[in-house]
Amino acid sequence: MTVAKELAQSGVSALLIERDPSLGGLAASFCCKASESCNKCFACVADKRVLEIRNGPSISILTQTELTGLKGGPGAYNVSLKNGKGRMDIDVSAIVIAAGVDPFDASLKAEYGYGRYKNVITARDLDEMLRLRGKLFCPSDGRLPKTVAFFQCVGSRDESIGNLYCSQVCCAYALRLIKAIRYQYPETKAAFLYMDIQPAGASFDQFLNSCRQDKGIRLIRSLPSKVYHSPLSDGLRVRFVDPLKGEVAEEPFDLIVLSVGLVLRKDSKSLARLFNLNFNEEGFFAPPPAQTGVFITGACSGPKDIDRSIIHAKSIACTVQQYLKGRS
Amino acid sequence: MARIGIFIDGMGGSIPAPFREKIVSVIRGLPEIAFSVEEENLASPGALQRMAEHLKAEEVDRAVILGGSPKLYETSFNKFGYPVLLNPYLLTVANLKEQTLQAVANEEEAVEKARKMMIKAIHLASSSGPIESRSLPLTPQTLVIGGGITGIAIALALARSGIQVYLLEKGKHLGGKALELRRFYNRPEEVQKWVEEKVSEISRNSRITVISETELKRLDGHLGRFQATVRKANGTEAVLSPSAIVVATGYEVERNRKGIYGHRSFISFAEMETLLAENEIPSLLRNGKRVESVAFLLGEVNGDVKIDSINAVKQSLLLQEAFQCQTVILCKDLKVSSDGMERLYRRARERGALFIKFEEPPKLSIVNGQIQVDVKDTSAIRKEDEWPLSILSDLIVLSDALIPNPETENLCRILGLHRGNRGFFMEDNPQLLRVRSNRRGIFVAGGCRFPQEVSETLNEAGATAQEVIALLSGGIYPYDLSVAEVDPEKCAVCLTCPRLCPHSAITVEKYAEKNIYITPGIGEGVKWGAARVDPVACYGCGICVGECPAKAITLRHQPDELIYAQMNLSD
Repeated sequence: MTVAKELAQSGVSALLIERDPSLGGLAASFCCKASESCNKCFACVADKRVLEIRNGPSISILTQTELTGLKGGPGAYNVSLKNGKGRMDIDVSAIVIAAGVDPFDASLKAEYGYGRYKNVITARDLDEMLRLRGKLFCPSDGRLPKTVAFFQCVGSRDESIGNLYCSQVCCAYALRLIKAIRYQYPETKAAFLYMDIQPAGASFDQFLNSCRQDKGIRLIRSLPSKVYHSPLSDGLRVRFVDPLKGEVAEEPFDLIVLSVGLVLRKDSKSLARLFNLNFNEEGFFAPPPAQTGVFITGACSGPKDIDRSIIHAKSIACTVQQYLKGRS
Repeated sequence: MARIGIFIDGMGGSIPAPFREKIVSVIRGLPEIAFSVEEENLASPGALQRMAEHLKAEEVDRAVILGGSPKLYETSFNKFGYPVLLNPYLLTVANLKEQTLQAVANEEEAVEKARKMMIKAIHLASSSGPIESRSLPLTPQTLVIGGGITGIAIALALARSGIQVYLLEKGKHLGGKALELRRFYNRPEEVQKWVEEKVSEISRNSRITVISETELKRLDGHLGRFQATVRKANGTEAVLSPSAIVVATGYEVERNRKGIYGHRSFISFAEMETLLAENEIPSLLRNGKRVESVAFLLGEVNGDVKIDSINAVKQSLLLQEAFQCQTVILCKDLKVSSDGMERLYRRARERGALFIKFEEPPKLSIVNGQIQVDVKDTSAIRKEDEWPLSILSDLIVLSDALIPNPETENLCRILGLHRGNRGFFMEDNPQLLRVRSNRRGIFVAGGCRFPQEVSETLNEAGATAQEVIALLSGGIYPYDLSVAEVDPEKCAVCLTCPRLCPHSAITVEKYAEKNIYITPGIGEGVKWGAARVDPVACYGCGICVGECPAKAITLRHQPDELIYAQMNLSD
């Protein structure tokens, strides 16, 4: 969306193709994570951007449309599109791919019991719960959880599932969720189980310090090994190394939130085949050579949060313009 | 007397017909109403067309919409074109759907609230005045302050898009902090060569004028008409008139070499980088002595910066692979949230680098002329296995605090920008875009906003260039006069407003002859002007209006009378 808007602003006509019925992608599905003040989660920016694009006059948008074919060469591509109304072929000079990412499928980490135990949810589920239902509750019985554990690096930095990269967004994401929860439900205590706290940025230090000072948030450097479930009480016990006590501990939690990493969308394989794209070591799209007129932006080129995706998109918009200028 | 046309929007049944009937009966009793029309769905192209025709035929000069949220109509105006001949500021919307029907359960109360809201809206419409639109011509000229990689990348991107660039550098050469680096962590090429290529591209580009050994001394004017006074090292001054300004002055490294840190074993990342580049594989020599073990101590000074972690892992790998050194990396959190870093981290561990993550900072002492680092090993599961570790290494690479440039404070004052966390340049509302500053037409990018890794900085540079191109490519900046305005006759030149204005849009100028004081004691002929709000730079926030002790400032689109009118306090 950002690339299309930037290009349109500079007088380049842009066509935006989205497979889903609505614009915004993953970013538009997040809830606001403000506590007493804004925690800079950028969820509202995505919503705003959708509005801007919808109201902006000069961008053509095709939703529920898929790419089916590609003909021509650099600078003069002909793309075939298919949607509910039929098929069409369109000539374009350059193509920008911003296919985005999916959250990691947490059921692949069987030891955490996602999909089997009701009170083990992903951070994404929690986000949806807060956005759509407007409150925090345990899915098993609807009561307010007194203790919540956040497991970091689920699907990231993990060789056992082949994702040997840091997803870069989940630490800040989880910490913001914790902040928002602690603000709304001060009686709920949270534990954050992590390897390394990753984010960096102009205001992150302050944010992290405010988390450290909060007595209701425990930051524990330890990744849990297993979640045990009692079918009778629906209670959950977490087994992990407690670095403070220096021993293996088991602790009960009412709700467990898995901070799932980012992976390339499953259907990106067909895009890669269509555009002859290569993957980088991490399994994301590698940028093709500039002269092909195909550009990659956003999280599908490597994990990025909303802010950095927008910055990356603007930067790519600049490159696209230079590419188009160089050709004319 | 104004003539007001009223449009009642049924919103596809959201405002039911019986309710609308009641509203119509209320309207009948009000003055100044020319007509009222009902529409089933006003936000549709056909209805907007009819609305325009009505307004024209009835010769009304104000319009009021009774319906839904103003946002809704704004959206449809954007989509289908603004159909009304009236100035947009003469159109008022009362949100009856959300603020009465949905807010009040009892129908009678709802009608009563709707009546009040309508009266307010009509008051508002009849007391508003038109606000005209203007446009400011923009010449494609930009001043980029700082010739580091950010400045270089921005200058090149702008020049390629046909924008004239002045690239200001206080030192003799372009390149900045990147010249301290020898290798990227994620690219094969050498940094120096890469920078040289970019610099030679700059020198070949006729659109870029590099002004080295020069600093910004003074800045006047606003977007589109900046007047930047620059002074060369030899004292000569020049005035540039760019339309926009990009600040990319980078960051500085603060070395703490007091006490034990003064020991010769401590070196910085930059020194290690040089050492690695100067030595021939396979042995690393420093002052003639062979270096066999290196420790990296990543302090908490840069807890929010990724650069140190990246450099430590990168240098550690080089030391291990090329120079057969044993390396230890001590840190609180290892930041691997950069593309490819986890893999690099993995490789370093496989090659035998030790990573020790501490909760409490390690203790340093001097043993036999060497630095000993004592730290608790927290990787053990059981408490009794936690050995205290003592590390003796030939060299210790220490992370230095990354701080803003010393001239940042001064530059902030000259440019009228704000400083944020840790004294770096602050972006405007981070939700808008982090490269915009608090002043329209001035952008901040790169290490002067926050130190980042090279590829991230280059992305930011690209985004900044795009922002500037988007601003300047149209050749004009359209704006309307919905801004603050100072009445020079009332202004006492107390300088409250220029100090308060968050966007540095107010200056004191002699632009009104009426406000001239002659103060006894400082000689005749000393004249004061009055505060002046630049309409292009003003965001219309109204802070100055509220704070002006003389009540000399008004918001043109929201004067006090209008607010009183809405509160029914006008009489």
